[in-house]
Amino acid sequence: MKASEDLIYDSAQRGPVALEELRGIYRYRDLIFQLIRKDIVARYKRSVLGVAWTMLQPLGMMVILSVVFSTLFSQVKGYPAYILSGLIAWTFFSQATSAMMTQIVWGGALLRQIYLPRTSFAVSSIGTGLTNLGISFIPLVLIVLVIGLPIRWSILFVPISMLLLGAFALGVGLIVSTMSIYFPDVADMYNLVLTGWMYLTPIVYPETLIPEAYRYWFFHLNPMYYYVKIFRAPIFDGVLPEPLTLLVAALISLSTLVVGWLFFSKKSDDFAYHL
Amino acid sequence: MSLMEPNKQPEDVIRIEDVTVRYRKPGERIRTFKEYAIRIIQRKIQFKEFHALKEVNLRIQKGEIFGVIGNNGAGKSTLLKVISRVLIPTQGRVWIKGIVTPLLELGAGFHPELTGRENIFLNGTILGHPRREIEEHVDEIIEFSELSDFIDSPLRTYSSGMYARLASPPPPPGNRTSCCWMKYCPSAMNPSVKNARRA
Repeated sequence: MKASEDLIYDSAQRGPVALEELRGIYRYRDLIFQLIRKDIVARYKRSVLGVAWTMLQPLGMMVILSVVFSTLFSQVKGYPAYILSGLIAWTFFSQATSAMMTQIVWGGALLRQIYLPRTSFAVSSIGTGLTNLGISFIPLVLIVLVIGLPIRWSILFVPISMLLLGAFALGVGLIVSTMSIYFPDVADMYNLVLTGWMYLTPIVYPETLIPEAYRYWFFHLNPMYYYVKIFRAPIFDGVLPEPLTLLVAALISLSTLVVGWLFFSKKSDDFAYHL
Repeated sequence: MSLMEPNKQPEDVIRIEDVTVRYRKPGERIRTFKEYAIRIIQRKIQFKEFHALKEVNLRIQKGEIFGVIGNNGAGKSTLLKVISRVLIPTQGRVWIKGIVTPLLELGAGFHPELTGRENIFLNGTILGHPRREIEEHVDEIIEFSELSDFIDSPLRTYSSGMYARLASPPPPPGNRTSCCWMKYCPSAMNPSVKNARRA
């Protein structure tokens, strides 16, 4: 990091805000790290089980969903692992994007007083989410072993799936948190959207549940479908994701991230007037 | 710092050239998306404009102590916000060398569950210091805060006095940087308000 005394800020030579934000994130990388640390440490400091909650939460959800739905979907072999492999991807997405909205409010008090890259809070939320996702991977592997599904080399592909989903979540989160700065009720609306979205995505039910006639459009218009697939293939099916699915997922990630970043940056100079 | 070497050119650290800040405020505040959508359809969004700063010019040199005095609404805070990069001026140019450290409101940039030491790092990086710089100075900061015995306890266990001591800015880091340190009184401590009460 450049020593702070050599920095020059010139409002006449700013360049595109989106790039300035990107450079800002690099320069404030120590801040991003501190923010992630704060989120993780603060969340568990006063609990007896501590970080174990990150693992217990998806496990608990999985147990509940398995008990509730197992008679309904008994045709899926290794159903708990089927749920869990989709559920951790979904939980990451919904928690990280919602966290961005609350973080920008916490950070808003700061943004009114001091310059920080405005994207810091969004980027650190994704960092926190990815860390939690990594931790919740441990119980997932245990469940897969307990159920007796084989663990294959394909599982090493999961970090790539995580990065792609992380980029998508960052893009979506930037868009919704920008909107929530201007309209606080967007946060409530978004929660509702998330609930509906979860049931549109094959997380608790097998894809075959949807009648074949609509299945194609029903799933292929839903970005989360691709991400659940690229998580489930290496973990549950023990194969690498299909190249086409992977390609579509990568394209959605990239375009959402770029659109979200540009949208957020475009509005970010205006935040200090609104927060 | 105030003693300048005789044959050294004074060095600008802040330059403000023709800076104008125009606030554009909706006539009434629109709080929800629903309301906004309704107003858009009705085409009924009205904006009121006013100038908080108008063509302000200013130069501050290294080592200089500079004060801004004015009545409520004179634009002092807006000027400080422009200097600290919080507001982007509507017109004009702001040039800054070094980093600007505004005095944050008490508690902003701290987290109650983290220890005093952890909060020094959190707050330090918020103020724009790299981790390395904070590590070099963390002992001085702890000494300055006089909280060495409690520095590894969570902030929520601190008394409000201790809290304030941790939050008060650490000593300027000597001749090491051309940092601009500035404080601004919260509006409650605004001198004119105080005087009015006294009168």
